[in-house]
This record gives sequence, C-alpha cells and structure tokens, in this order.
Amino acid sequence: MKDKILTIRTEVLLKLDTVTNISELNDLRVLYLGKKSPIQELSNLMGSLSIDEKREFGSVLNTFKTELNDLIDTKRIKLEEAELNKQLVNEVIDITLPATKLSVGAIHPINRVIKEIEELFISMGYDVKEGPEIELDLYNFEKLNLPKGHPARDSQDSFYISDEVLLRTQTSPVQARTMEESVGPIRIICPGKVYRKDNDDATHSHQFHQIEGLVIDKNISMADLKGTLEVFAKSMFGQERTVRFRPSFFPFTEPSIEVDVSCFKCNGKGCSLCKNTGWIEILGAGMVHPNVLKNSGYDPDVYTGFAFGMGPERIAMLKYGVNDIRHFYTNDLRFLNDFNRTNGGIE
Amino acid sequence: MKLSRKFLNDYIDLGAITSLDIANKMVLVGNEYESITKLSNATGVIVGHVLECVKHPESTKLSICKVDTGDAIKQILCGAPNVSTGQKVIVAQIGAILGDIEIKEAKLAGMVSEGMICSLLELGIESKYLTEEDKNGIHVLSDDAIVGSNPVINLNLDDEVIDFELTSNRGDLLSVIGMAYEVGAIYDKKVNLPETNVVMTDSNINDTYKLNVEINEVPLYLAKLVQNVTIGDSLEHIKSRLIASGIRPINNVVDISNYVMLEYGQPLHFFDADKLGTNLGVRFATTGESLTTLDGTNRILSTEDIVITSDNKPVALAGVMGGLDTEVDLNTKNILIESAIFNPLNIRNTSKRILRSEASNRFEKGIDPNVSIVALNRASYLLNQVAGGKVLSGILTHDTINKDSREITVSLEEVNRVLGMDLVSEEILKIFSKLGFKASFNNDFKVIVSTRRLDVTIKEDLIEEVGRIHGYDNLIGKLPLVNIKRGAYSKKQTLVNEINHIMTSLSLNQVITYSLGRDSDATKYATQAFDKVSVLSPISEDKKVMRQSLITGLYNVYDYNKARNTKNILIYEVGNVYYNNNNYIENTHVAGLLYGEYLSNNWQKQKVKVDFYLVKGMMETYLII
Repeated sequence: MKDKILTIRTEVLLKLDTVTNISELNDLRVLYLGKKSPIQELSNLMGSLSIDEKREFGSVLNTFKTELNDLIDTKRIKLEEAELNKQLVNEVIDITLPATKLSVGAIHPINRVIKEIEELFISMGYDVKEGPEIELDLYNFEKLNLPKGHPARDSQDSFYISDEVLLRTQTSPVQARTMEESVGPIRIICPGKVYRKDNDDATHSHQFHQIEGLVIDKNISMADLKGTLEVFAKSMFGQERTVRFRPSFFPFTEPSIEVDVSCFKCNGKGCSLCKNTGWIEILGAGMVHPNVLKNSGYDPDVYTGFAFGMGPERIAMLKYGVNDIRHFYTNDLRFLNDFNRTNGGIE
Repeated sequence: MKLSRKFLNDYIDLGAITSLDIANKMVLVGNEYESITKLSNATGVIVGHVLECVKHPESTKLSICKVDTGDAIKQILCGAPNVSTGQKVIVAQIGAILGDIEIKEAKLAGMVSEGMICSLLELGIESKYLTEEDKNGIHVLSDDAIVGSNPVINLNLDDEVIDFELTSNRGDLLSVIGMAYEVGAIYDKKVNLPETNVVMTDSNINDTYKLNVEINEVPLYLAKLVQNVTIGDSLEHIKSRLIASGIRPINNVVDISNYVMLEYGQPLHFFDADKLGTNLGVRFATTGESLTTLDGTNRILSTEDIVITSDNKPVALAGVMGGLDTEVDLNTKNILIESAIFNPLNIRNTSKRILRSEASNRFEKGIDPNVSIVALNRASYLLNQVAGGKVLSGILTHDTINKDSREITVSLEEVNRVLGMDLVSEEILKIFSKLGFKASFNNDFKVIVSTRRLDVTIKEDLIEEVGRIHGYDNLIGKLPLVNIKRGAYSKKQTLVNEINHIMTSLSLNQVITYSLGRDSDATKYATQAFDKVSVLSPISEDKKVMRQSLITGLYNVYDYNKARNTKNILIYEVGNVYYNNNNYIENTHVAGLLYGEYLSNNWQKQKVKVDFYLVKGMMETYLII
C-alpha cells in the first residue's frame, strides 16, 4: 500500500506542474482528494487491516493527505497571484488621453446677481418676499402715493390689462402688500420681474428685474440706510467702495435720494465708465413716505422705515462689463456660459 | 430745463462762480444736469464793415468783398446770396475757430480770401432757432455795430447753458427765478426780482370786457389789455436768452410771452384783441367741437378739454396752445394777455392726447398762485418798454384760488430722528432762511413755506429740505439697531433654488425669456385651457399676450443659438405662466430643451446623444426633490 501511495504522489506532483489555472486545480483536488479518489479508496481499505497495520498505514496516509492539501493550497496562491498580475497588466490606462466631456450648466447672470444680493441681505436678517407680476393699480401706484394722474407716472409707462390691472412696473407693490399683512417691524427684500412700455434698445428693455428692500421699525433713520447700503456696495463692488447720497424725488419716499458708488474702475479718479464724475449711480432709496405707511396701516408717528430699489440688470452690466441689456434676453449660450466660472471683472 | 447763465445772472449776483461749480452743487441738492455747453464757442470773430462787394468774374455764387475790420481792410470771398455793400457783418479772421473748423487763408476760384463772413449757424446756433433769412445767408448786424468789436458779445451769445434734468415734483424750477432761489439757497445769495411797475392809462379793461368762468377746474383767470404795440425785432438779449433756453425767437411781442414764462414759470397767452370779441368765457369743450391751433392743425376736442371762448366760440385750448384765428401777427396792434391757472389733471390729459408744450408742462407741475398776477404785470411792463404798448388799468379777474402760505410744524427731535443727524436749532433755522422760508423755533420749528414751493406740504418735506441743503456727505452710516432674527427664503423659493441646483448639475443652462409674446403663441403647449391675459395697447404684435407655457420661449432660444452654429443646446427656464380663470393666475413652471450631444468622448468615439430615455432619466432625477 505504501507503494501505491508513492505512485499516486508521483502522479499528483507531475500533474500539479501542468495545472495553469484555478479551475484545473479544483479538478485535480476533486480527482485526488474527492469521494471517488484513489486516496479515498485507500482509506476505505483501512477496515480490513490489523490494528498494527492500521496504525502504521493510517499515519502514512494522513501525512500524505496533509502534504497533498498543502501542495494544492500553495499552487492556488501562486495561480491567484499570476491571475491578478495578468489582470493588472491588461488594465493599464493612459491617463493623458482626452476625457469624456462633462459640463455644469450656468445660472443666468441676472439670477446670479439676484442670488448674491439675496444671500447678503438674508445674512442681515431680511426675508425674501415675492408678489404677483399681474398687479392692481392700487398696489402698484395708489398705495405708494402715486394717485391717478400723478406726473411721476409718466416715467413708468405701463402695460395695462384692464383699467385697474397692469403688469407691475416696479417691485414696490410687494412692499405695500407685505406691510398690509404685517404688524410691527419688517425687514424684506423683494426680487422679481417688472414691465414697462419701452421699446427695447441697448439701455431699455420692456421686461427687466428689480430688487426692492424695505426696513420698518421704530427709530430707523437715513444713517441706517447709508450704513446698510455701504455694506451692500462693498459686498457687490469691493471693500474700498464708498457711497454718496444725492437728494432726489420718488413719490413713495420722503426724503428721497439716489445712491452713487465710487467708481470701481478708476477708484473715483474719473474715467469713461463714470463719465469723469468718479461716481456711478446704482440705486434709488429714501425714507418711507408717511402716506405709504398710513395707507398700509402703520402709524408714521411710531414707525419709520427706509426703502431702496435697484436693477439687477444695471448691476450685472456694471459688474460684468455688459454693454447691451438685450444680451440678457437673447440667451446666447456663449454669453451665458461666460458667467459660469467668473465673478466678473471686479476683484 | 435749459438754464442760461446770463439769464440767471439777471436775478442773482454770483460773481465769478463758474457754471460748472453751480451745476455740480445743484447735483448735490438734487438737481441733476445733462450737460454744460457754450451757446456759441466761436473764437477769432470780429465785426466788419463791407466797403465793396462785387460778383466774382468766374463764379456765379461767389462775391468778392472788401471788408474793414478796424485795423485792416481784408479781401474776403463770400458765397451767401444776401451779402452786399454797406453791411455790418461777422468776420471770422484767419485763425478763428468755428466749432471744429479753423479758418485759414484760402484760394477760391483763383482769388485769395483772408477770412470768412459768417452766418449764425457758423457761430454754433442751431437752425431751428433762426429766421428764414438767417438760415439762408450770412447774419447782417445792425448799423450801429462797432467795427472791430466782438459780435459774440454784442449778440449776447457769450452765454453758457446748463441742461438740467429735473425731478417731477420741482415745478418751481421750470423758471429762471425759481432756479435763482435754488442757487441762492446753495450760495446764500439774495434774489433780485425784475421790474413790473408800469404807468397805466385811464381806461379800464373791465369797462369793455366781460369774463365768465363756468368751471371749478380754472380757479384763477386774469387778463390785461395792452394797446397800440409796434411789432418788430426783439432785443438781442431777449432773443439770445430765448435761444439759450431752447425757444425760437419770433418777434418783440410774442417773445415777451415766452420770456416772462421763462422768468416766472407762469405760461401766458397773447390774443390779438381785435380778432376777439369782448365776451370771454372758460368752459369744457362740447362733443364734436373743434379748434384750429396755432400750428395750423384742426383739433377735435373732447369734453375734458378746457377751452377759452369768445362769444362762446373756442379761441384757445387752455394751457396747451392758442387758436390760429386769434393769433398775434405782424399787423397786431392790441394784445389781450391771459395769465391763468388750470387744473393740472385736465391739462395733463389734454396735452397727452393732443400736444405737449412748454406751457402744458408747467401747468401739469403746478403754478404758484401768487405769481400769476406778477407775471401779468411783468408782461404788461415789457410790452410797454419794448413794443411801446399802452397798458389799460384794471385786470379782468376770476379768482377763487387759495394764495395763503403754508405753516408747517416740525420738532428738532423729528428732524434728527429721520435724518440720523445731530443738528442744532440754529443750523436748521439758517437752512430755512437760505431757502427763503420764514421760520421760528420755540420747542418746535414753525415754518412758513411760500407758495413758490408747492412741493413742500408736510413735515417730512421740510426734513428733506434740511437734509439736502445741509448735505448728506457728512452723514455717517450705521447699521440699524434691530432685533436679531434669521432671514430666510420662502418654501417655494427654496424649492426653486433646489431645482436650479439640479438642472445646472445635469448640464442645463438657465435662460430667461420674455413673458409677453405673440397672440398665436400664447396658448401653444399650454397644459390647460384658460383665457389669455392680453395687454390693452401693446407696443408691438410680438409683445401682446402673456405666455401660458415656457416652451415657445425655449424654442426661440434654440432658433437663435442654432442660427449661430451652436452644436449642443441644453437649456431650461424656471418662470411664471399666466392665465385668466376668473382671477388672474400666475403659476411657476420649469421647462427644458435639449438638442445635440449630451456627453461625448471624441477619442474613444463614444457619445450620448439626446434622446427620450435621457430626458426620462432627467425627469426621474428631478422628481426626487
């Protein structure tokens, strides 16, 4: 029987050398260690042997089984390593070849500006409010101290839908609506589309956007307005900017002012952008007119407030150096994509 | 409002203060300006005397002139048809600058010309201000012009014009005297009012004329009669001030009505009294009534138009334009001057429909009720001085207007609370005094505001006056002391922000298109059948009806970019669509358009083209939110 084991051993060693993959190795293992293997057959013969023979032959058989298992395991590890190496060689990549093109869409430049302004004011405790674009004359004009026939209505030629309904010419009606439904202090900004009966050209668009701001509280003054707009100007146009108040007239504020920011191109020295004045007009503002407060249920002897209104198109044109307002509405993809990375021409 | 510096100097002594300084200081008190220009910027021009003028032998147009310029006699060739011997003319000498042109010695048809004889056009005066004669030839000076003197100065053209863009509340600044008060408040200078006293005849206008004002919309109507005027040329200083102010001079009489309007802001109308009856009336026009106005146009009137009538027949469209039949012409002898105040709303509606004029603009913004009579007297005075008219005593009068000054009270604390300043009562009293308001302080300020400033009616207006004259430059900004709270987007805005995030991450570019479009496009692609929202009087067919879907707009963007050879078009819009379903409804929609390749790798020849399953995948991604 010992001879038989030696024969099998020689056979297995020869076959192991010819095995080239895991599957063949498994077949080999089944062939020599499985239920119908010659080694199993030898084990089955054990019952017919004497006790001494059993002891001697059993020991030899077990040693052989263990050796065979070890040989197969060693071979398995070698094969696995070889296969992994083969796989790695097959999977080598040239990282210098061109990539698959991916792109991120761009947010429209006007909405980028609006978002930037919204986030600034949210950080100062303002809520973002919206209102209808199809608006009542009552909210768009009358409650804002612009009765029918007021000469200041001339500057806001309107698209009327009916005698009392129009496309809002400004975002200020959102102020009036918010005040009407509120009691106590208010801090809001109101972005949105507005419409005026202008022919489209480089500086006019029949549809554009506005952002209105309103703060109502006890003891709000022009100094608070100036401080707030200084924060705004520095945030939008750079930390070195200063603002200038120029008296003006709006029916819904008293006193009314127009606000200039020191020119960010020439630092106030005078250049073509600021028409040699050193200042660029960016928005209109003022203290909420007592009639507007009264019209919406606020007592002007208790509450004061300030309001400001600006045009995101104008700010985008200044910030990004766009010279024609119509570009924002033709949506040339080359134009829109220009705004994907840049923060504009201002550092 | 074009402000002539010389005109301003007539009423306020500003010494050597430059027009630029005035303009820039006006900006800081709220009056923006567009430009500062010289009325004439000609240099090197001189008065010459044409001693001899003969036709050029080889030219049909040119004349050869010998011109005495004081220190020399020069040969000048002139192409104007009206040049002739004996004239005093404007000579541009060698080296003179006319606009962009420098005058050099020239040879014309073989003859040397040592300068140029000028028209007013060449001095820089726009042709719309010139007489027919001046448009077609050189300007002929009066015989007493001194040879060798400066014609720009003689003609009062050495003026500067500041073109102001005024806010609609400052009707008072549509007058030179109003401007003088404003400038006076800045520099703390007194305003000198013009002469209005005139000797009148014994006859009284009220003995002949009757006036019947039938409507409340005309609270003040005054008229005076001036007889035996002589029509002629205006004085140079009146002509040049009119031109500088943007008004064409006509003759010595008509020019006075415009001159006084510019001085006081009160529009006047001059009727030829001989073409007018003696029963004057003021009423609304009746349906079907018409009037041929001064410009020769027959105007169909409406029942909201106020008309002046003579024997109940319309002779003028109140506040807008006079009638042709009663116009002052070269033969006019007797003038009826009208100085009135009409309801601004009626004038606004009439002028919007018919014609906007210098007069209507002023009536719309409001007239100082105390100035109408002063302007009437001033015009009478000038007609007497300039045109030799005899002024009848008495004023034909309808007067129901309140002429009282307003008294407004405001406390020191209120001024400082609103302005955020720390002013003391003396500073504020000083500002009121500069503005010409009478004010006293005893715990509160009591301020008497003259009717000159119709825009100052409540204490907030006074606070604004203090703020703007004191100047906001010294105002120190601070942040409001308010309760801390967290600012936030609404739920819907947060959702829209999230949609934008997802859409751009999916490579779509956001677009913004127009809400107004063609009628035929409005309901295309609409998801529900609702009534359209249309504007009443659109500016064009393609901006008429509010969209009910975003898709037409996206197609327009596609067409635009496709026409520019953009290969891949990946766009979306978040915007409102608009319906009328008993109420006006605005819903926010999201729509996208994809065309071309979504992903590509040229090297590996792999690409993902836009197809149904890609869009379906996007929709599924989008629906996660």
